Amino acid sequence: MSVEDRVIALIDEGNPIPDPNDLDRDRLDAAAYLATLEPRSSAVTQVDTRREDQKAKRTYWPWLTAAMVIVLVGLAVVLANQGDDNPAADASPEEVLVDYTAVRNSGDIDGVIEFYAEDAVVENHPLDDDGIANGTAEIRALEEQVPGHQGSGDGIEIIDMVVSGNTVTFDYMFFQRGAEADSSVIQGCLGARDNQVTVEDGKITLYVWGPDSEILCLDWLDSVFAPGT
Amino acid sequence: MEPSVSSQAESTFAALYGRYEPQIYAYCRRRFAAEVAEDVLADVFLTAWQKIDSAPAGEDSLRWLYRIAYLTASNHRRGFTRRNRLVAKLELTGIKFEPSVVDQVVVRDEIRNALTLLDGLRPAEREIIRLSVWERLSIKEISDVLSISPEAATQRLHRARKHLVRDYERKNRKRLSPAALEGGEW
Repeated sequence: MSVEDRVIALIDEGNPIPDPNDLDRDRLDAAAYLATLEPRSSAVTQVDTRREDQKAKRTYWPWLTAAMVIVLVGLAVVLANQGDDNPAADASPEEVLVDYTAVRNSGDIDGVIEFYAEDAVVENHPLDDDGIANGTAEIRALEEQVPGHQGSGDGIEIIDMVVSGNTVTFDYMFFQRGAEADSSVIQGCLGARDNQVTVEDGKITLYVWGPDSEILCLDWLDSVFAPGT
Repeated sequence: MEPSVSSQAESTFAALYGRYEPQIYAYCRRRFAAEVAEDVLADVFLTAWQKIDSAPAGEDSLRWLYRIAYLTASNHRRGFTRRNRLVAKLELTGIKFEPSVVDQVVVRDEIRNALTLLDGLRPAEREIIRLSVWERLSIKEISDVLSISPEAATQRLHRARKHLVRDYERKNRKRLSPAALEGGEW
């Protein structure tokens, strides 16, 4: 037996629930379970309320974030006009990430590429079948496919950052609003944890997209908030 | 007195719940501690109830439930709530929200080692191994659950299995002889 087959066989053997029908647990029968559920109209109302909650949150925070971004970009412009060739070289890794995210969300593809070192590497980009993009030309080709760069109101929100040396590990949510839609309406989202950006001399040299970058949230929201439910 | 199951939606849901609840519970229990699994299970069937009009018929309905379970589990891990953001923060500091399946079952060392390798995979690869080995889904079924093409599912599963072997060999390179590798010893 090959090592691969052996490992798979052991994982199979380690299945915590080998046979669901052998589980000794109390469970309600279908009719009793149904009785615990609210009528569907109420259930949908409950879901819609959640969506309203999310909309309320998301209508507030983007403006606040945008205001902060404007201040940061303004500062960057002032510094750029002071004659320094690379003012961002003094920026901390987390500052670079925040600025980078703001430019991403603004739809400025040239601005996005400016943040990368010429020989930067992007790994595990969700739109990259090969898994690695080397250099700014390949990175640009990927980034041009990202909806957030089409000025649509889509955008990333960083929800957590941990800095270690010149590397920032962060979580983000990507919210899709769509070009035609009211920008306050969240049409969908995706998220990823443990993304990592390494910054050297103010430039991103390595960007490793975190796991679970598939459009899980988008599918999830579609499944829950589909029209007619 | 038990409530009656009257409407078409209720009877469809009742049939799904009655037939597949154990499988969906097992899916949740294979990924979460018992008390969390119960919460995820409840969310799965709540969503199924809300979406019952779009439930497919026949064997496809189990795949449909697995898809809801997959999305629910994913959402549960990193949703919108403060709790989940706290969890994400805890995980960054090395505290795991989702108890490792290794910690949940009493197993012999070689199985524990294999499950540790599984835990070490990237989440997408870990999930496809679980769907293949534990839920015993075909490539077509997996591709439906994950909403990816069968080709992508095949490639991801292949890559996940290779990564298991890579991690196994890294772990055991210095400890095992080639003969032991062939013999499957740990």
